[in-house]
Amino acid sequence: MKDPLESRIIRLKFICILLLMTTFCAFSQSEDLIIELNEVEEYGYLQFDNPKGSVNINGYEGNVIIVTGIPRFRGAIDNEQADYSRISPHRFSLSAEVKDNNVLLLCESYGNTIDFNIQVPVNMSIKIKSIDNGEVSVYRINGEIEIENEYGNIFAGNISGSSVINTTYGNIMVVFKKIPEKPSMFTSFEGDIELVFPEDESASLKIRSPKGEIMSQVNLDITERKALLRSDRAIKRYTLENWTRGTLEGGGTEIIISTYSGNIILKYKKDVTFQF
Amino acid sequence: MKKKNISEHKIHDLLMDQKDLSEDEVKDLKKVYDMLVREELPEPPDSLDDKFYSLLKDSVRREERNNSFRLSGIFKSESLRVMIQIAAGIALFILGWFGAGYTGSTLTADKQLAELTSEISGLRSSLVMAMLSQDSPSERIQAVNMVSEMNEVDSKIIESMLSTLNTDPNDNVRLVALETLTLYIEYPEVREGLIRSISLQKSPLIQYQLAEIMQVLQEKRAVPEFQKVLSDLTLDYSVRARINETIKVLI
Repeated sequence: MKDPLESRIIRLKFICILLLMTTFCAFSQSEDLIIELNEVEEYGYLQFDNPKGSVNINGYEGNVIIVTGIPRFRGAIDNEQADYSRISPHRFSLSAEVKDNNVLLLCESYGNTIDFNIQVPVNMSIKIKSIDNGEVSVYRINGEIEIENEYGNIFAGNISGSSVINTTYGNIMVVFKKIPEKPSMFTSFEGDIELVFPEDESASLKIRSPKGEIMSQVNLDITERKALLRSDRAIKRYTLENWTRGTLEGGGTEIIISTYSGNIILKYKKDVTFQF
Repeated sequence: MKKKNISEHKIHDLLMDQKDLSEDEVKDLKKVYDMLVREELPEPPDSLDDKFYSLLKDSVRREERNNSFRLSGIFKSESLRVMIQIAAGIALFILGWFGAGYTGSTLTADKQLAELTSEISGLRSSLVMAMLSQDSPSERIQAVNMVSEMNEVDSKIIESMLSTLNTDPNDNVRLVALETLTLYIEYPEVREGLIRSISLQKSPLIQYQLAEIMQVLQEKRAVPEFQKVLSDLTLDYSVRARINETIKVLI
């Protein structure tokens, strides 16, 4: 027979260990910001500008947004001394404002490069901007997509919402799961734009690349170059259209692709080796 | 004979029931009745019967014929009248139609048509405005595309296109707005708006395109604006080269 006091102490110890464990877990997840949303069915909006670093977004079946920030470079360790244990300070501050399932993610990184991994509900619309030193990739999102990344590459895989993506010096690669219903537009100034289409889906393409090439593996029916006539009171103006227009499977949603000196590559999904 | 007797009795009883009659009167009446009954009436010959029936039929037929004739006559005259009335109505209508054509009331029709088209364009422009204020950039692109499909634009739409070109948060939407505005370059406010917009643009694609447009238009007023852009040290190299070329051509 055990002493009741002893058993009580054991129970207390157990509770203490449990408490410690939970606090430890909480601390180890402190880099994650978890945002709960009301309903997944209602399309929300996530807006995030990363001042420096990459943004990687994954859509999943759930109604919680999980934001993980990882500093890319550790601090200098030259003046490390054996006497001191090194405690890493927080490299960035992160906060989120939620209103009617619309989430505004705010980050201040004090010049540090922080890469963000964000898990979002699959039906959410996203508006992402990486201002410097990073790439933006988005996988498996059904909502609308708006991405701006002036200096880096942009990758959007397995998407089905209308997407408006622009970069100046980066490349764009988009793999459509389904051609969206609303118009999409992709522009780069010096980068290549590669679009991967599902077979047997219709779209109307408007392409422009004055200094680059258009390379197509898809069944694109090129429509004749149109001449526009605009007449003023005194002047008649005839202009040949700058856009190369073509249709996939008879034409459908408008997709505008424009680059200045980059190439434009059009492919079918079956010709692409990678899988998601 | 039996039958006769029964009827005689009956008559007698009936007469006796009449309280007003005296017995003598009854007897007299009975006598008269007996006389009547006993008197054998000559049977009418069959020919008479036939004659009667044929006459009856004839008269009935005549009656019917008369009636039908009268009815159809009424009908004929009525339908003719109605038809004449309808014809007159149609004639009046056609006359009115042509008369209206000659007296110049087509002007009102034209006016109505013009009003209708202006109403439609008004609706369209308000739809464009509504779509331009949407959060989704794809919808804003759609709105700008709608403007490019219009044959004529009013100052309100030009203004909204210019403000899209200058203030829209998305570079792609701005680029589409610039494309659309170049379609309406004959409007002086569009030209002036584009010149004013040069120094406000940050996207290299838009800056490059503006340099091209101004060169084509031979717009000398654009030069000071381009010089402002050149003072930005972070300006893209190819854009700088293009702007320099444009300035050289314009001066």
